[in-house]
Amino acid sequence: MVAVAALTMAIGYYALARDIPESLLGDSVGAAGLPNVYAGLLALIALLLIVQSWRAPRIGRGASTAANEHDGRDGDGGRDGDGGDGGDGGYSAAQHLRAIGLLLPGIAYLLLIGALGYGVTVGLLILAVALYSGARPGWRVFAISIAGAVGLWITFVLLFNVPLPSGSVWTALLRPLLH
Amino acid sequence: MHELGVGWHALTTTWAIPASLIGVVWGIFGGALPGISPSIAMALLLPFTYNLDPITAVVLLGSVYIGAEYGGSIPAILINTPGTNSAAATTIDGYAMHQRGEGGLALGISLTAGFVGGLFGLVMLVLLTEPLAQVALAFTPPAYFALGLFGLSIIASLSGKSLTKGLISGLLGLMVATVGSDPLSGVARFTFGVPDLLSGVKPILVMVGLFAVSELMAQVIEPEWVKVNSGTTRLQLPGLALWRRLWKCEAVGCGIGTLEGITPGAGGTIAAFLSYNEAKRWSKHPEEFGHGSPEGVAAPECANNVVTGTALVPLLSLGIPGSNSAAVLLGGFLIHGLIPGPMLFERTPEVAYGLYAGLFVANIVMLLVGLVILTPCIWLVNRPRPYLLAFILALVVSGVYSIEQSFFQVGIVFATGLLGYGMRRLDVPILPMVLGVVLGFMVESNYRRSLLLSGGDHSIFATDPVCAGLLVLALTLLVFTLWRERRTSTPSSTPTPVQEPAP
Repeated sequence: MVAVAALTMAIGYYALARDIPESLLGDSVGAAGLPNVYAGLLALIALLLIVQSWRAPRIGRGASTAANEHDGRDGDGGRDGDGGDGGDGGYSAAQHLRAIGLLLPGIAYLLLIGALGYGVTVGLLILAVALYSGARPGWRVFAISIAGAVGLWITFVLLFNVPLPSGSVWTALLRPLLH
Repeated sequence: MHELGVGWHALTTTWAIPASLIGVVWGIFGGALPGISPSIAMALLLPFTYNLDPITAVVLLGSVYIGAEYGGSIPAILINTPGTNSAAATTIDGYAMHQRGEGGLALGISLTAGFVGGLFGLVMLVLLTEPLAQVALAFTPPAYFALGLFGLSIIASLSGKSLTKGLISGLLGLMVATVGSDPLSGVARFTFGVPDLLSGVKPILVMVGLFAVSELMAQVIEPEWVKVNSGTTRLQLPGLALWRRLWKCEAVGCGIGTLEGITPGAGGTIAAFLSYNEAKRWSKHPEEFGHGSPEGVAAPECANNVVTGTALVPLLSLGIPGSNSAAVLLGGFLIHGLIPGPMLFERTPEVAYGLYAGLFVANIVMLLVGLVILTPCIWLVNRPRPYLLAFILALVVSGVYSIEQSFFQVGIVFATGLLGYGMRRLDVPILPMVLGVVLGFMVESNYRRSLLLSGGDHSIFATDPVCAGLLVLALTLLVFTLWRERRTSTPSSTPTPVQEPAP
């Protein structure tokens, strides 16, 4: 899997490197010179990894996969030999998706912060991540999220003077009152 | 004497002393939380250093490193779970001592041995760094190119079981370093028309993503760590008789910590395990090792704290980060436009000597704070993990935004976090990629400058004596590392470090 991913990246990177324009100020190596070398090296190592995987004893792979399945885990990363793809920690695909899902509240934070402002959005982020990671729903998680948001707002906005968004929604709502 | 004055002045005219206190406390808390390594604890604070003066910033980060090494021993001793990789060796005898009711004494030994090791490492840092940096003053563009390659050759020792995966990781880092304007011609590369990418991908974003965000993602599916039984453990310092017994193993820890620290890529974990083994060999009571030997706690704790100083030797003298923590500290320098290496002592000596002075204060602070911080640490370790994860992620997004008020950069951190998570799960080491990102610019710009100087003649890399010497050194390090890896990978009774070798 590592080898295939690396090879794909090498090809994609090389394709992008070919589009780098030449400059009149360019030297003999050029702006695309080293990127081409890196792409070539990555492709070479990826191919080496594929060859190593093919040459590795299949018996070891089978035994290891069987052991993983016996443990009730996904057998995707069984073999640990040099060049192998082992090492997913024995987690299932669903668990990996759950781990990756942690970024969803973060992405929502990026999408909402302009509209809702820093204070509200960071509170929602704490709430969402805490619930997502296993906190029990209830007044406690809400109280901690509000306290955390207030603490972070004081730290970043008041103490560090970071110009964080105040929220276009609140500005729009408050504008008629101010005028 | 002049240097001492510069360091003292730097310490007293900035916020370095409060920074060392905050850094040590943060580091102890971070180290005490299983999964939060010193480098992650440092990476979390990295964005906050942007608004600080350079001396305060680097002292803060260096102090976190020192605090985290002690913090890592707290869960290692109390719940048999090392808070940091380098505390893994401490679990063997530390937890055994705790089981027989001597957990407080084990923590006291860890604290005092760490203090001794920290100060010794600092002395070594001061003695070794500047002479090495003076040599590096004679460097030309070919020599800097070779220095970059020398730094990249560390990848071999960071690659663990698979050198090929380490090389892939390193190449990914080099590729990321090519994003943005070309260093010579100014042509935009891999920017996809996005103006935010013209200045490249900042190493700090890659570090926070790879170290911190990927760890948070991994923690979501990790089983909950065991809670500490609070109220049953009180820290107890070793008495004079025990001190007399421990000095020899601490000397072993100091020696090995120095050697492993200055060797790029070795790090505190290897130093701790080697010291444990050697202390056992030199001990009058080797039979106690594994069953709660005080020496089995003192030796690794002393060694991994020596490394907090000596691991900075290659960074400050040559600009090569030899460990995760050194890489994050490098990020702290880069944020302020400072490039560690020979010119650091020429152009901004106050930062270098200020860091020395700050690390000295941090070691004192660690001893003092360590005496009283146990109860709050236990409280923190016992908090429900979902809240800790939520606060840390909120801190990351807020801190990264505060660097340049850019949500695009927060997005980059998420993207590198996702990449880092994939790398962790596929056993692809992370540090080679960080090295690639950090050293990529140095390698490319000096390679091309060298060829401009020579009119495209590659023999300049062989005729420049410093360059040729460094290339030979890089090759030697590569061969030596491969030889050592092959040797240690054969079955033996030596306990092997967990995860990545560098802290």
